[in-house]
Amino acid sequence: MAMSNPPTDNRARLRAAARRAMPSATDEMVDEVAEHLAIRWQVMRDQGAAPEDADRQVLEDLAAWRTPPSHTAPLLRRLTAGWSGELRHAWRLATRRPAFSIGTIVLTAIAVASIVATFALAYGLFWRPLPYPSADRLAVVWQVQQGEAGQVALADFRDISGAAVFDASTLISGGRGSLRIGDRIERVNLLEVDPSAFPLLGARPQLGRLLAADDVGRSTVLISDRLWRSGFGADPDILGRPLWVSGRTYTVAGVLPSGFDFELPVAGVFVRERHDLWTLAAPPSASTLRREFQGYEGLVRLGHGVSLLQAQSAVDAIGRRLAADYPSTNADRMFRVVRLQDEVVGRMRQPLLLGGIAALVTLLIALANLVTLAAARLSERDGELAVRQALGAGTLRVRRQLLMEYTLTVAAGTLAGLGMARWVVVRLVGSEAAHLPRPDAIRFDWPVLVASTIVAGLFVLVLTSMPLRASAFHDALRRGSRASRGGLGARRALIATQVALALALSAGSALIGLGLVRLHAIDPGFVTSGTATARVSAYAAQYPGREDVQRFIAAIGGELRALPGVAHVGAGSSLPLSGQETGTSVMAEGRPVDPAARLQAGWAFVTPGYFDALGVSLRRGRLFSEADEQRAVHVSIVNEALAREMFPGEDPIGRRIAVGGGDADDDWHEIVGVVADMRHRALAAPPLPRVYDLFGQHWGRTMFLVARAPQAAPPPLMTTIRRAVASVDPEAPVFEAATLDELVARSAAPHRLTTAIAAGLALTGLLLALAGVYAMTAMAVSERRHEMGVRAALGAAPLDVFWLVLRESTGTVALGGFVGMAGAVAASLLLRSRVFGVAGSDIAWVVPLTAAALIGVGVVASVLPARQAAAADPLASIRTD
Amino acid sequence: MVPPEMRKGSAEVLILGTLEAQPRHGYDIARSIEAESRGQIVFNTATLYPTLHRLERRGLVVGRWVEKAGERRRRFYRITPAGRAVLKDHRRSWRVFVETLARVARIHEA
Repeated sequence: MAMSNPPTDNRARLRAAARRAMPSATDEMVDEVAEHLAIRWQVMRDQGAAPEDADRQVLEDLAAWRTPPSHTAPLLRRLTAGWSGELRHAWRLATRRPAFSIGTIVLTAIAVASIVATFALAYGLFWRPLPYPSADRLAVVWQVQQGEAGQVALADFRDISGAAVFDASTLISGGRGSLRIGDRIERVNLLEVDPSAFPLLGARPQLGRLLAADDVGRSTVLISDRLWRSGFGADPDILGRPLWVSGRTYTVAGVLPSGFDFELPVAGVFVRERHDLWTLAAPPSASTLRREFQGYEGLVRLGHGVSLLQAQSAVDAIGRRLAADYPSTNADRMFRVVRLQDEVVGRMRQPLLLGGIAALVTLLIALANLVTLAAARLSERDGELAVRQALGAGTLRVRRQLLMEYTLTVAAGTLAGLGMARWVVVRLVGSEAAHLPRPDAIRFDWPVLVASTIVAGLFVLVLTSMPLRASAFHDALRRGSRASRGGLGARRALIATQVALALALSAGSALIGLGLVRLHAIDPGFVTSGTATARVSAYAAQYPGREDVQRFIAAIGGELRALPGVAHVGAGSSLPLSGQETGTSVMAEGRPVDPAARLQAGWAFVTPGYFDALGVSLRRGRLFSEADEQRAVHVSIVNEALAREMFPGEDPIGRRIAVGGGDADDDWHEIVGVVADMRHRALAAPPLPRVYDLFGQHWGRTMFLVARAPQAAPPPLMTTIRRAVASVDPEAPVFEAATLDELVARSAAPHRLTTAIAAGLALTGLLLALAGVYAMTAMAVSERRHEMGVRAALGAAPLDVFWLVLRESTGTVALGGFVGMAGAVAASLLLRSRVFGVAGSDIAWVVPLTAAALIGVGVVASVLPARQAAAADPLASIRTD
Repeated sequence: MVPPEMRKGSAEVLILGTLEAQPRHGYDIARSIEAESRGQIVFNTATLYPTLHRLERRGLVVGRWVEKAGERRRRFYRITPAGRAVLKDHRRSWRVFVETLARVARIHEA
């Protein structure tokens, strides 16, 4: 290249021209262009062109700078140019290839539905604050005695709530009453509270005023919005009206706002309440101030910046002091502070934690499936993308176009998934069987929408950031289809991962299901079928003394017994699986022990018919008889657990035990019988020692009625109970009507919910993984059609081709199966300590069995495409390439 | 001559291809493309230099000012390994494109 250097003045002239033509360019570029033009100018001159001609060429070149080419436009304009075109194109692509679009939509919908449904439940229960001011600082104080949590004594709570870690406290107790409106009697739930409860819970009356300290003893009442509307037609003149409740007359002081309630937690078992009446508790009396009398829910508010741990250690210190000051009652009594929200939703933590893990695994399977699908789609569009890139569409534009396409389909899938999640959650919340607390808090509002948007965004991000073409990933995917010749392809890895995850999920849910079967196989110790129960209260205004209450209960019993089909009738202060539990300490005669070391036992007083009505077997001695009521000697029946614990290897019949303190003569009881153990607190909880005393020798106002009709179906039996009570006293409140089957079902509810969530997600994951296996095999077959055709043309029998395809996919499924076994074992170990009925020994057979089943189904899923491959016309296959 | 829009779409692959064998300065690149295309493809500076600078920003080429004895200082461009990879990619795209065009638009029959 012969080129001389042009004169410097000419170069300066050209540079000035370049500068003018390209005002926004850097000096460096202007220098380069000037140099370029100078050489060009000189070359032309050297070739004999006139200076004017050379100048014209230069000016023509520079003119192109004045109409800036698109790639020098500002980045923002480049990014936003042509969006609507892309959108139209994306829509065209999506509708032209419906299979891929539908696949993406379905996969996204499944993933979004599983994760969003779980999130909606978890958010509503655990993270949505309770509807009280500073709800995160509210806590409940429980008394803990020998590992059992229960309600607190008034005197204890006064000592505890005085601690500096709390800035407010109140006592709440719940009850039921009969409300007379005109000539109707309504059963209502009522709360007895301290005046301090209202500011603590942030109550603001919509009508009238709240109750204050000077209302104590004045029979004033607040009513709920619900009662105000349904009972009194939202009468604005309700204030000052007399209200007849359970034989007493109250004056309405105010109406609480709509939705205001306090869900009263009951230790161990949650009972949802709709409270319609709020009254002030009677001033404490000598008897309610006794530390033996434990019947209150103590609500506290932690001070600003006080942690639960700090509050607990302060309460521990008070507990130790009380134990030292009042050894007869408080020797082994400690207190536990539980966040109110944890108390309300605590039992749902386990199912939702497991559900959340399962939902994440399902999400991963769906995502892996989607990536496989998208990779196949990209490889199909290889040609189109190549043309677009060749025509100057940079990768940015191609990515933007993919982004549009994926955004379109993923958004559609997300909407569908939200719909599915909502459908599932609404049904779950509505189902009585699930017994979900806080149903009002489970809503599909913005936090749920944000969560689904994040999931959708993640999907779009993963899909759009997938390498485009001719990349390592893409090549790996292609190699994957030829993996029989070694090399673990990305596609195989993805499918194996799906199989592995699905296996872990399936094995886990199989174990949970097995646990549920075992839970239901537990003999509760009583007959559940054909047995109905209801609680009835004899309120003080009508039945002041023990004999009155006894007559009331006996009269109902008589009514029930007289009805045709009712075989057994009984009543007791407590019923297994009802959530009602009273404890006491028991000591054997002649073996005095320290109060703290006394045996703790469940306690109830029951009528002679109680055990027969429940169908409990008598192991030794006899049951109570009517005659016992007349005897001066107090009698007791104990369960086998108590007999084993207190009288190992001895006959407890005729032995005397002290139930309660043992200081009074009345505390001493003679054991007349031993009955079989019943599951009292929960189906899964092993039976604890229990002692039953005779109703009449002990008494209370609220009793569980139990009626068994071996022939009759339970629902009519429940109406029967209501009718029998009404015939004795039309105003007596009947509540908590249920069959014993329902009580058993309620006890198993959290486990059943876990099983339902796990099984649903495992099934989804399984189907996704199988679809993946099928798609992978089909894809491999279609990509290798040519090779198959050649093989077949060269004389390979159709069966050879069949086995070749099958061997490859089986290898992938088996690989996933083996990896998944490790995951399944890990899942099982996680479950073993958390879910009832899952034993370590189960892992040894459930995991291999699930793996074998999954691999079997996986092989079946690949047989279909393999058969297609074998059946293909070899010549047609060759022609396709 | 090749129409401008086609020239623009192919600028990157042409420039990278020219640089594959040896480093060149801007004028040299343009001259080489013009010569190799037998005058069918002529780049003006408004296409050439922005494209070169864009390739440099993407790390596909490296430009360096070089001063040789008796010559003005010129900016020489050298292709990077990343540039070679992209060139390979471009070549594949174009092969598909050209084959497709040939088949679909029956270019060879024209």
